Amino acid sequence: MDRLRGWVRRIRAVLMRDTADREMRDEMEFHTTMEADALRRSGLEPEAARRAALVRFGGLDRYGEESRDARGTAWLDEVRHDFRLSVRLASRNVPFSAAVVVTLALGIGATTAIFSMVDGVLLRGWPFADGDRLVMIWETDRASETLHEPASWPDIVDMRTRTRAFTEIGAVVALNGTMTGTEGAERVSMLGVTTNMLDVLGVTPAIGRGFRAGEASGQGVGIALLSERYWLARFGGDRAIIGNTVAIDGRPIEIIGVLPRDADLGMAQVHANADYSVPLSGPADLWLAVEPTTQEYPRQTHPFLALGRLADGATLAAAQQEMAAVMTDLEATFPENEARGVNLEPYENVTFGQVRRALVVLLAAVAVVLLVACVNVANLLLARTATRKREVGVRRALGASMARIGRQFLVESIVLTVLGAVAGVALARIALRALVALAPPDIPRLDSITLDLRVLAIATTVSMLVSVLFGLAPVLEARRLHLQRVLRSQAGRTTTDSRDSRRFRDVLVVAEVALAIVLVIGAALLGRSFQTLTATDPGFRTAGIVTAEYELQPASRYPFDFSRWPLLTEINNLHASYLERVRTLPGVQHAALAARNPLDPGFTNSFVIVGREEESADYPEIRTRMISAGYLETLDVALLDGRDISAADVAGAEPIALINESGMRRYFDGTDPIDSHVRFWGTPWRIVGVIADERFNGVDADPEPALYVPLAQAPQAGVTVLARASGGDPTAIAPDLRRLLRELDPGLALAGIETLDRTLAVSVARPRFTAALIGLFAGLALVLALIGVHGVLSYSVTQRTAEVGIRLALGATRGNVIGLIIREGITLAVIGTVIGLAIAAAAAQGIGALLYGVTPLDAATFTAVPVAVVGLAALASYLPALRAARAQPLSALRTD
Amino acid sequence: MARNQPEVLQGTLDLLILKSLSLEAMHGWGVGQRIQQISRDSLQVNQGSLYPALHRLEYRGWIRAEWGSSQNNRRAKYYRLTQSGRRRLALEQEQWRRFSTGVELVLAAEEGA
Repeated sequence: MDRLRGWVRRIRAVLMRDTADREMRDEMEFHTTMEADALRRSGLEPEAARRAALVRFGGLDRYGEESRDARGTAWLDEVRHDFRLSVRLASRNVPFSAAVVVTLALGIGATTAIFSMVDGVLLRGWPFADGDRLVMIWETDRASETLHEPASWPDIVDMRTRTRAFTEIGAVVALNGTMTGTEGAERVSMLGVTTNMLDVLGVTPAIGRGFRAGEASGQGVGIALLSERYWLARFGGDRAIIGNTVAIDGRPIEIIGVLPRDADLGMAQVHANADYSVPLSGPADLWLAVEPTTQEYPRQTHPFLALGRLADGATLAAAQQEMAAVMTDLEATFPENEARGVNLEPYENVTFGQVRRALVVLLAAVAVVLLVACVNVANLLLARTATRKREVGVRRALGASMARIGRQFLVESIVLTVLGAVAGVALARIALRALVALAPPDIPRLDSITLDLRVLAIATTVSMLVSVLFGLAPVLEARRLHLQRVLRSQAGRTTTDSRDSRRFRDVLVVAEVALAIVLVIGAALLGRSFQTLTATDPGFRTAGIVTAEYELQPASRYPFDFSRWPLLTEINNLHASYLERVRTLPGVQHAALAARNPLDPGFTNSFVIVGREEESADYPEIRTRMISAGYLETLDVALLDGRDISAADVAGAEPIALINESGMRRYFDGTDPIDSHVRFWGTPWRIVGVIADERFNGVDADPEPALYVPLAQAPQAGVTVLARASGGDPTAIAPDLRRLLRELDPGLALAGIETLDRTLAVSVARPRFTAALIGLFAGLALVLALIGVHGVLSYSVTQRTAEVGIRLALGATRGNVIGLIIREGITLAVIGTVIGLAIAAAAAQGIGALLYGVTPLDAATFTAVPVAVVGLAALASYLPALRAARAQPLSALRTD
Repeated sequence: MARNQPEVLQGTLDLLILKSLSLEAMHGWGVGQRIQQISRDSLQVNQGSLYPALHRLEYRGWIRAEWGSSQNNRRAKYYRLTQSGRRRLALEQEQWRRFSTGVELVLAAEEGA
C-alpha cells in the first residue's frame, strides 16, 4: 500500500511537472529561510545570513537535478527531449525525412492493402459449416471431353440412393423470372435450389426459417428465401415481407426468410466454370425451392449443378470411386447416359481456384516492394551515418553516454517509422478502396474486404526493425571512432569512413535493383500478355452495340408447348414484332435477336452428320446458337460461304443452319459443307452457309465449332436483343428499347442492359487487373531502386570530392569526371540486373498460368527490360555526376 | 558550526532520516537539525543531499509527506514514517548493528591475532 502510494507520487511528479517543481522550490525556500533565521540568531546580518544559508545548501540547481533523478523517471524526460529534437531535426532535413517517410508509407500501405484483399477473399473462413466437406459433383462427357457438366435430375436421384459417401446431395439451377407488383415488372435473378440445399451448404437463414422437405412440390404457392442484398435493396430491410407472398412469372411465392450474407459464395464461380449451364445473371436475388420431377427433366437433359456434403470419415477419393461406379451402372442401363461419368471437385477449389493463383502472385509482388522499401530506408539511414559521425563524436567528447546517444537515434528512427506507418495506413485505405472498385467482379467476397490490422502490425514491425537497426548504425560506428580525427575533419568529408559501410550500401543498392528487375519483368510479361488478349479479334464487332435480355412470361400467355414446337406462334410473333419495332428506332442502325450474347457460349447438343452417322456418333457435342436474321450484319460477323439467315426461314419452313469456320474445319475437313444435313433434336437441318468464328468462349480461348440456327425455327422464351446504335453512345437507345417492349406487353421487362464493349472489357477484367497491379508495383520498386542508386552515388561523389579535384587539376575534363561517376552507377545496376535476371528466370515459371500468348522466358522481355533499367540507372547517376563535374578543383582540394 | 565533521554516507543517511522521523514527524530542515542535535554535533547532514534522500524515501513509500504550517506559520512540507517505513527502519538498524559490530571486531584485533 505504501509502495503504491510512492508510485503514485512518482507518476504525479512526472505528469504535473510544474506543480512538482514549485513544491520543491517552496520546500527549498522554507529550508533556506529557517537556516537564515538560525544564522541571524547566531549573530550574522540578515543579508549575510541569507547568503550563507544559500551557500550552505549547495547548488540549488544540483539539488533540483538530484531530486528529479531520485524520481527514477529521468529517462522519461530525456525521451521527451529526444522526441522534440527528432521532430526538429526531421523538419530541418525535409528531403531526407520525406524520402524515408514516403518509402515506408509506400511499403507499408501497399503491403497492407494487398494482404487485406488476399485475406478478405482467400484466407477468411467460410460462411458454411465445415466448408471443407463440400464437394462439387460435376458430370463428365467422354465424347465431348468435358469435365464440368451439369447433371440430369434422374442421375442425381440415383446418386442419392446409391451412394453412402455423401450425407446430402443437392442441386441448383439458375432461373430468371419477372417479379410483378405495384411498381411494375422487374426481372429477378433466382437460384432454384433443392429443399436440402441449406443442409448441404451448412447455412442457416439469418431471419425466418429454411426449407422443409416436400414443401416445394406441385404448382401451388412456391417458397423462397431472399438474399440479404436483395432484401435490403428491394424491400428496404423490412421484416414484414417475411411470411408474405410475391408474384414471380404469375405464380405466388411465399417469402419464408432471409439468407445470411455470402450464402451464395461460390455460386457465381460454379456457373462460370461449368462447361455450359443456364447462365446466372448476377448474384441471385432469391433462392427458390424446387422439387424437380423426372417427367419435367428427363435423363437426357442436364440443367442441374449438383453439390454434395461428404459424410464424416469419407474421403474425396473414395467418394469419387463410389460415384464413378454408379455412373458406369447408369451408362450400362440407360442409353441417354452414354459416355457420361462423374468428376468430384472440392467446392473450395471451384470458388477460389482461379483467383488464388493471381492473388498469390500479387502477394509475392507486394512483399518484394516492401523489401525494396526497407532496403531503401536502410540505405538512406546509412547515408546519414557518415554525415552525423561528427555530431556523435562531439557529443561523446562532451561526456554523453553511448546509451544516451543511442537512445536519441532510436527515437529518431521510431518517429520516422511511426510517421511512415500513419501515412501508410491512410494510403492503404485509399488503395484498398481503389482496388475493390477496379477489381474484376468475379473475385468472390469482394464487397466484404476490410483493412487487415494484423498485416498493418506486421508491416510496421518489419519497417520498425529495419529503421531501428540501421538508424542505430551511426552509434555502432561511433564505438570505433577516433574522436580526434573525427572532430578535426569537416562534416561529411571524413576519410575515415569505413570501406565496409560503403561496400554494404553498394550491396543494398544492388539488391534493390535486382528485386526491381524481377518485378519489372513480371509486369512486362503480364502487360504483354494482356495486350495480346485485347488485340485478339473476338470475331465480332463490339463498338456501339448494346445488349439486353428479356423473357416471355407468364407461361399461360406464351405457352412453351413441345408438341407444337417449333410452331410456338405467340412466342415467335412477339419476338418478331419486337425486333421489327426496334429496327424502326431512329438511333438504331442494325438490330437482331439471339438466344445468347456473343460472349456467352450457351449450351451444346449432340448431333450427327446425315450420311456419316457411324463416325458422327463419336463426335463431342457442338455449341448450338440461335440467331435471328440480321445478326451477322449487326455484329459484322463475316459470311464466308453460302447465305445468311433470311426472313423466309420461319417455323414450318425447311430447317436450315449455318456452321462456323472451326466447325467446318473440324467436321468437314475443309470440304464444302453447304447442302449437307446435320441432325439434332430429331430434325435434319440443312447447312446453307459458313460464317467466321466468334470467340464466344472468351478472347483467351481457342474458337470452338458451332452451329447457328434461326431463332424462329428454334424458339426460346428468353432471348437477348442486340442493337447497333447509329450515333455515338449505344446506351442512349436503351430507354427506347425498354419502352418498346413494355408497349408490346406491359408484363415484360428488359434486363441486363450493357454495351458489348463493356461485356468484353469485363471478360478480360482479371488479366487487366493483375497486369495493372503488378505494373504499379514494378513501377514503385523501380523508382525506389533508382532513388537508391542516386542516393549512393550522391554520397560517393561527396566522398570523392578531393579525388575529383585532383583529377580535374591534373587535366581531366568534366566529361571524364561525369563518365567516371556514371560508370560507377552503371556497374552497380548491371550487377543488380544480372542477379535480378537469374531470379526472374526462375520465378517466371510460376506465373506461366497467367500468361496468354507469351512464354514465361520471353526473349524480347528479358532483353528489353535490363537494357531499359540500366539506362534509367545511368540517368539516375547523371545528376550526381554533374555535381561532381561542377566541382572547382581548388576548393575541392582545399577541403582536406 | 565547525567544518571538520565527517560527511554522512548516503546509505546511512537514509537510516538516520528514518530514525528521526520515527521519533517525530517533521519538515526537512527539522530533520537535519534533529540529527545534528542527537548526535551531539558529530554528524552534520549535507543539506544538498538531504532533500534528494527525503524524496527518494518518499518514492519508495517509506515516508509520507504533507504540507502544513510551521511554528512561525510558514508553509512547510512535513514528513512522517509509514508502516513499511517502520519495517524498513528495523531492517536497516539490524544491518547497521551487524556492520558496525564487524568493523569493531576488525579494529580490535591485536597484531598477530
